[in-house]
Amino acid sequence: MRGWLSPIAIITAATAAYFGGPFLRFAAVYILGWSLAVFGAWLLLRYGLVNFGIGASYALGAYAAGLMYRYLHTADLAVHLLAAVGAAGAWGALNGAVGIKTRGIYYSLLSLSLSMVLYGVLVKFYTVTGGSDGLYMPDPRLLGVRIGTAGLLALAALLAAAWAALGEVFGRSYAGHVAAGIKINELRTSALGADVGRHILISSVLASIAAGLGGLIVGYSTSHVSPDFAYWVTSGKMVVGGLIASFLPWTWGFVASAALYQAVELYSLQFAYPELVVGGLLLAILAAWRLYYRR
Amino acid sequence: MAGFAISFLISFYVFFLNILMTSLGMAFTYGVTRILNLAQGTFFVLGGYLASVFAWQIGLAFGIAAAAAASLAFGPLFYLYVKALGRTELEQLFATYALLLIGEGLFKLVFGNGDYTTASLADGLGSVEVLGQQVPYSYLWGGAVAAALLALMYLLLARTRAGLYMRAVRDDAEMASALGINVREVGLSASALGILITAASGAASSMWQAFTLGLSGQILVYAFASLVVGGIGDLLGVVAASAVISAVRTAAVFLYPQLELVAIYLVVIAVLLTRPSGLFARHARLA
Amino acid sequence: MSLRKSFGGVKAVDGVSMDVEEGERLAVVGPNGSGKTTLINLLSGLLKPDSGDIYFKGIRVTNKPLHARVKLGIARSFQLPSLYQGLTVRQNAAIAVSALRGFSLRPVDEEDVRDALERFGLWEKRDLPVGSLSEGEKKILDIALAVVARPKVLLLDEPTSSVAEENKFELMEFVVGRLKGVSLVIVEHDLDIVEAFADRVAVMHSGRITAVVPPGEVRRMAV
Repeated sequence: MRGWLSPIAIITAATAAYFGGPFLRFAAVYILGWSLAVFGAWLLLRYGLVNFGIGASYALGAYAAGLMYRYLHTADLAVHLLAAVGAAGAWGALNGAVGIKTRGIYYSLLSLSLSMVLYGVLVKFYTVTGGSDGLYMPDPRLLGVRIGTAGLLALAALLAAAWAALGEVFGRSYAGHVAAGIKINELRTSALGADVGRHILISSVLASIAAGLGGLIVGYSTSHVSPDFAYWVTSGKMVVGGLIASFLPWTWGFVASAALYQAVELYSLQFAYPELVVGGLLLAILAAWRLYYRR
Repeated sequence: MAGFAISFLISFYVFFLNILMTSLGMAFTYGVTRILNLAQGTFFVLGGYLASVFAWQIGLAFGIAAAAAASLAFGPLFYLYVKALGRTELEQLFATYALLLIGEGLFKLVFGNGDYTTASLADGLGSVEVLGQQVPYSYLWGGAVAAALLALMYLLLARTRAGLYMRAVRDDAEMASALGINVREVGLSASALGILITAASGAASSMWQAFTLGLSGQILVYAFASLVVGGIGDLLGVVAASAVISAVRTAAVFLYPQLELVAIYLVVIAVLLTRPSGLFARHARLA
Repeated sequence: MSLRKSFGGVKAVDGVSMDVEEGERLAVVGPNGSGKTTLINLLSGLLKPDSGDIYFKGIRVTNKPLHARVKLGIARSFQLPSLYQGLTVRQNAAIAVSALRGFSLRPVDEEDVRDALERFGLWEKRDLPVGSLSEGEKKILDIALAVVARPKVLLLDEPTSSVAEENKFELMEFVVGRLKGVSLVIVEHDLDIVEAFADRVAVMHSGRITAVVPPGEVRRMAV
């Protein structure tokens, strides 16, 4: 039962952040949104799949809403959510369907390439997508009312809590056990009756939707989406977040890992050599994990 | 028309050299140690920085050689670093990603924000006229270095005992270990060699390439693409894949520059969809 | 119906025709390289034949993938026990139970896991990592995982290899005793085992079945 505390912990942390002032509110929305993309990377890592293109889903979620606003002049949250889920879900199905053919680093590079093609399209077709400047993201409205910062924080917290609950269910489920089987020995799992392609396809769609919703939230929080959302370095950071999450024993690990990564990145910016700080801290995390594991 | 063809060929050739030498080193390290090194581009850039610094002190050829020699120490260190921190493939990925960031930070600390290159020294080598186009000798020297490294690797793999061990470990590490091969030693030497090749090619390419922050990541993606398109099998696969990727990229640059990046990825996608383990993959073993 | 499969120029299985009756135990014997394991791989769906067809209860399964055949009732064990290293016996069984359920988010039914392990006497060992099991226990667990699917035909690839000589007989007795009514195709080197447990014996040589004989005559046939 302890696992079910995860969604509650997320909501509690978000509520605390709300009373912590405007910066904490902004940071909480950003981190919760980004954590959904980390969830996507984490879910695929459960199958042993390192997706270096998860940023494409993240970008699509935000662009779906940005394009809705630009061309249909709608800032309606429900429409945006549907568009984000639809676009990211379709992308996940595409990535899953082609990804099934490849494994290991081939899968990683295939997903990276797919995301970079999207990146190229977003930059290139600037008359439609706004090019490298990106698009403006409106304040979303629910039933015609602006949801504001509080509403956005609540939305982010609810979404993160919902995905944490899904993660909890997944961990105990038949599907979660098949994922573990595929990660360790795919052939054997298939010989036991699992349709590996189907499992990977469904999880790709779920992972992509999570990342898409994350992109939507982050886009709202900064009022802006750019092709950088789809750049492979963005995906790389999410994979690192997912890896940290997979070291953590809790279902809300993806939020903790996202908070940690973003905090470290923010903290590092005050130094002349931020990469050194982030790299060094990642190293420290890995070393600590290895020490813990040896015991 | 001839001028166009020559400048196309030169552009193709230079990019081919860059991508070949990074991916060759990466393929070598990955093939034997199964460590996917996200910091491979970092060693290429390191070679370029060091060569640029040394060349002004001790001359171009010695500078490049000194940079390559200095990088020899990094291979074993890299292997020990990854093996100490990463037991699983995912942990190793994490460790090399941290290394990529640390490398980038250190470059900024040591070399600052400027461009580093030996291009002005290399200009002193002069150039040769081919069909009315000036082709710098530095490009030819770069090609000679690449060919020499390639020949060295081939001889090592095909003709020496150490090479035999490396091939054995590449094909089946468990079996090699059961036959009494010290997999760790082989891994150490393969990493040393892979990183030496990468750094040496970085050093040589400083004759036409400016080294600056952020290059490690760009180089990495090209090397990654060539590695995967070639299929992790033999040297020839990587050579052919580098040629294919360079040809497509150069064609895109000449015909439709905005598509430069996308074109390479489309090639990768097309190859992986038709040949999921690369163009030149060996037979996959079952179970 | 005659099955063929080549690797490069090597004909691993070269025109095999055979039937397995319901509840029958068919042993396949032959020297190394005679195509026994390739035959198992063809029947289980790990490999696709170059020509020929495979029927199961009147259904053509030649082009059905591994997992689809399992659901129809064809399961297999592996020569080298193919367990999930690093996990416990219980977790291994949980994966086998889950593999039959499609993408389901319902929690794993612990009763099914328990049944799977109890049937082969492994419930007591449930919390041990599979690496710490004896060779014989690994073999039994490997078969136990395959049996979770309640197969009609079970393909056993060298069930007693890597098990100590004195334990082979006991192991087979134990396994076969728990597989009443299941058709078995047993690839086996040990002729004592074949004589004791098979109903019929197919002798393979160079990718062909050269004879199908009663177990008593196998020593005369196989050299």
